[in-house]
Amino acid sequence: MIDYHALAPELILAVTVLAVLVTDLVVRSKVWVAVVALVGLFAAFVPILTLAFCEPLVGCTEVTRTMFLGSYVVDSYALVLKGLFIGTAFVAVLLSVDYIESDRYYEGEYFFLLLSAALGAVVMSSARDFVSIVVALELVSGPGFLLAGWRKADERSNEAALKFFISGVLALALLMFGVSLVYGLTGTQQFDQLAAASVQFVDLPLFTIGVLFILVGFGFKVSAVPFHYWTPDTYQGSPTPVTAWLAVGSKTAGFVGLLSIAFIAFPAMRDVWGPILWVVAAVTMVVGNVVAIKQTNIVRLLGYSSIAHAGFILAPFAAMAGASDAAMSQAFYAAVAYLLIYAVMNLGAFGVVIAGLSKVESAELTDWSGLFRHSPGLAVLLAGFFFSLAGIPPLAGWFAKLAMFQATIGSGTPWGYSIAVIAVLNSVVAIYYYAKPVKSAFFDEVPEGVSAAATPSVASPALKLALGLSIAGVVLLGIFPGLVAQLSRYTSEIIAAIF
Amino acid sequence: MTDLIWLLIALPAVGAAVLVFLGRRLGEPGAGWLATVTVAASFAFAVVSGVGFVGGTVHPATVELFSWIPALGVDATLLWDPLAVTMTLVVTGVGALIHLYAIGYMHGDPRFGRFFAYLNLFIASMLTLVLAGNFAVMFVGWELVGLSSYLLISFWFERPSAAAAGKKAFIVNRIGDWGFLVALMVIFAAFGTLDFGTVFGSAPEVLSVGTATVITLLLLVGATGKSAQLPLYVWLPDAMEGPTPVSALIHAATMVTAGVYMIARTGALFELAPVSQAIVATVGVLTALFAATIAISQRDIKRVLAYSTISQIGYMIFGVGMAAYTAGMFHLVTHAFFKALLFLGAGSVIHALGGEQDMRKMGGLRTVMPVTFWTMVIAWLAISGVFPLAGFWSKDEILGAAFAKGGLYTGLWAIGLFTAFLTAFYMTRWLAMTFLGEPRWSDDVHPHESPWVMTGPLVILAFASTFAGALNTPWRLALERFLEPSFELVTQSLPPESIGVVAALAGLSLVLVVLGIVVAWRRYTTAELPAEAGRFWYVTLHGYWVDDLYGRVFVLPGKALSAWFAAVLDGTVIDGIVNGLGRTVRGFGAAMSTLQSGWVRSYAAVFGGGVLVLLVWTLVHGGVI
Repeated sequence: MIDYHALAPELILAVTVLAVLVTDLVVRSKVWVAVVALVGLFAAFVPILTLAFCEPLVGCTEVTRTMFLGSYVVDSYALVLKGLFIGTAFVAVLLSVDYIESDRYYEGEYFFLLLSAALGAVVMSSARDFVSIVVALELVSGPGFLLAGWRKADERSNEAALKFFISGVLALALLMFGVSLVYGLTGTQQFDQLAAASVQFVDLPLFTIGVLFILVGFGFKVSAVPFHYWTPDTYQGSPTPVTAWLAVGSKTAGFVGLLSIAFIAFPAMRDVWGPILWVVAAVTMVVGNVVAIKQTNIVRLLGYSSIAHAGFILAPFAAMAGASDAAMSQAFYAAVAYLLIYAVMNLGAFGVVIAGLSKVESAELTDWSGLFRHSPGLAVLLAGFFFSLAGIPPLAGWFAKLAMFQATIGSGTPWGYSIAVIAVLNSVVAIYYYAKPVKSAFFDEVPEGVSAAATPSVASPALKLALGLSIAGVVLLGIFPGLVAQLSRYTSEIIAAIF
Repeated sequence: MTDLIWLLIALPAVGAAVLVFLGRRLGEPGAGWLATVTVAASFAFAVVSGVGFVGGTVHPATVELFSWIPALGVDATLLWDPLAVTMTLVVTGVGALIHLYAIGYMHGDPRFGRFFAYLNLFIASMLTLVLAGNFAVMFVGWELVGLSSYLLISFWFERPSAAAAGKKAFIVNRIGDWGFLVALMVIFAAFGTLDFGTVFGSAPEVLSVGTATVITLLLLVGATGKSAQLPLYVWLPDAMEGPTPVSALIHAATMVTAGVYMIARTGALFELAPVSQAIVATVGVLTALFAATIAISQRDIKRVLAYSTISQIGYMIFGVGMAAYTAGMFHLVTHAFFKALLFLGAGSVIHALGGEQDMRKMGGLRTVMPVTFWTMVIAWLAISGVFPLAGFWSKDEILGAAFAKGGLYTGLWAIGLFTAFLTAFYMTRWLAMTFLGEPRWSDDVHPHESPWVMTGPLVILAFASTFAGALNTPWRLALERFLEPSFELVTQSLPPESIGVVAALAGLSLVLVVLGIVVAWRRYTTAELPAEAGRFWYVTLHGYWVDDLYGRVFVLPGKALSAWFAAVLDGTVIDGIVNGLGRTVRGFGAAMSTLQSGWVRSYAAVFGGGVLVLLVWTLVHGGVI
């Protein structure tokens, strides 16, 4: 028997995806397409709440529901992340409405693709075997390639899509190769069985290679160095709302896959994947932060910032070689907490960029100086999100960093201590490039040739709502980090149950 | 009722938030009235929910608001006990009167609404500080009052001196805040919690004398910054650049006493460190003496009061330092009344003379401003310590406690006694130069009595300054009994038991006070002002050149160091590293840019190379090859 309640978010999203396509066909006014998308996302959020707080409902015994012979699991971890993905998609739609409409490439399929990717991410949260994971990954990636190339006549957009696609195919090939090695050795591709089986393969080089290739596949998705090259080019060339989705939704989906694989499928292999991810995390932090310093384009800056943050999110993974079970649980909690906060503050930052682009009509940082003089509200928001990204209290970003440092240092391993030191140094570097645009927005003169002062405020209600939600999130989560902590603790109980 | 005490903070906080956004629209005097009402409402609420402590129907309670930093086990908690009630009543009571006064004083200011937003923010911050149930919340309040103080000192930021004074206050306070913050870290390291109840309750078992001394000395550093004690007092005289209601509220009655409150609150820690107690008491009494000597020769009507405030807070620190907590708090309360009154009176005078602050251009104002004059007479007698006004009781309780303690404290008692003489002298000089003698103001100023919103608070505060002594007299220890639940964990130093000794000590100090008044009266009620020439006047007028000394010892080297950092370290080394890194990145990029130039095949090559490197690393690390 199929548990329709557990699958309700996915089903509602799937229906919405189709409804969006049909709406575009029958309704002339394109705004309704976005409205249908928003309503669908909102509706999909309802069953997540009823699943999470199901005690009062009839026929509900516990939150965790296992389906399809253990391949698809709805538990608190999956629910928190599904909520995150639906929220992210909601904000991404809000960010898009105006941008896509004012663009001459507008088609209803845009929202169809965005929602499909969101559906993939939602499926990713529950996938507990390699087939489901790969299906989910492709469902996230495929629409992503198309969305990146949305501006058909724009060379940069084409380039963005093509690079993204080719790198993606390469990563997928390696991922599939790794999966086939693991499957060939163990005879299973389901996570709970792998967790038990992998214990006896710890020392087998072929198995190690399999795990490594799987990690590389996800390394691409989360744009970890050296699998990140597509990121700045793609982020810059894609329509900015798409970039926001890629940097938040798509990347988080990659991290969710990585979390499930590392912590649920291969917890016994932590001595293998720990050191690999240590190297990747360290290099990612250093390259992301150092190269970000030299960026002159705000979208590329956010691109490298998202690479740098990927390094920070990987840091708890990196500390896991030789760590205790309790430290594993702590690291899992830290990664989820970081993902939640990262999503909120990054969506906000991209929202500011979208609003600013329509005002300044340039993504060059020099043109953004003196922003406060013509758009004070926008400048304040810019400061809020950038300082949060830099990790300055009382904005949410500090708590993400705190959780990350607690997990790395708390692991008590040399890997943990060393990655924490690298992370501290990189956090310092990060403050520089986050603070610099804020400083120039507040204290520098408006450059000549930027006629922004003359153009009236063009932020649409949808964009304002997106910005409002994000800044409220950044401030509230920074002052009451207990909210995130509780949510993420709730998810790490799942991990604690595995050991 | 106790569960709702967060409302005390919320009311002025909401007021501040509303005024920030709507202050301009509310305009004058609406913005001022709104601000006044929120503080008055807090006062009323504090009275209603605190009155139960008198009869013992309400007991000290910790109120948990929300879980704040669960990772450290820190919650947002408030503590409602008699000590907090006392501070809250002073802050909101005096605060409401000063808000009212400011409606008149700030009349016509273009940023009228903004001023009251800041004042309300200050009240909310100060209440956060005094109501905190743990060190973390207290620190938030501690920092927020620093911020409000900065905003209000440099409120007239168009004046470079005001902007500089704000910065100076902020920077000097940072030094104190550093001490406080490090103290918090040591406390957390030692106890694993920042909760007042747990820390104070378990301190005797947990702390060694050494750790207790370290913590308490660091707390003292915090107190010397916020409460303007030696050696960090230098910001307070300059802080007089702020509007006078600000000087009265923040830099006389409330914020600057935060250090006194903090030491009283953490008495259980000081109890374990007798050395720290002796140091605190010494710092207090030396500050009292030092500032009093400077106050003698100041010519600015507000600077006299500023040094006087430093001196009087010295008494309080002296009191709480030797564990006479009730006496210290008692003096804090009475001082809040008469010093706020003095500042508001000074403001009234400045207002009347169109901004003139030099006392050599005043004189003879007693007939022109009768209400201000008579209220100032009361304040003058109260601060000088004349029987039976408020200052007499509270100051002599501190001195009595020191005398009873003996040993080192007998010496400190003598210094305190001498300072009482100086206090009477400089306050008489202040009153005489301002109100008595012949008018010395120029012909184009036309002094006038202030409007009722300004004189009303003066009259109320004058009543309080007259009768507040009744709170705690040697034969009726009302305040001591009231505060008892807050000081259960400590042994207080008390004045001598015998009424005869107390009376003798009071008589002795009264003789000195009267002597000070008589000497100054004879000197300054003459037709011509005395010349005040000579080495003593010259040295004290310039405050012993401490500011110049600090300028030479800290500021100039600091600037030189900054310049060196900017030019050499930042310009050469850091930029060198960054540029070097940049070059390395670019050089790296020279190899890479053939890859990063957009060819996807080169991306794939790096991708593949990366996999290969990781593969080798993993296998080597795993011991396979």
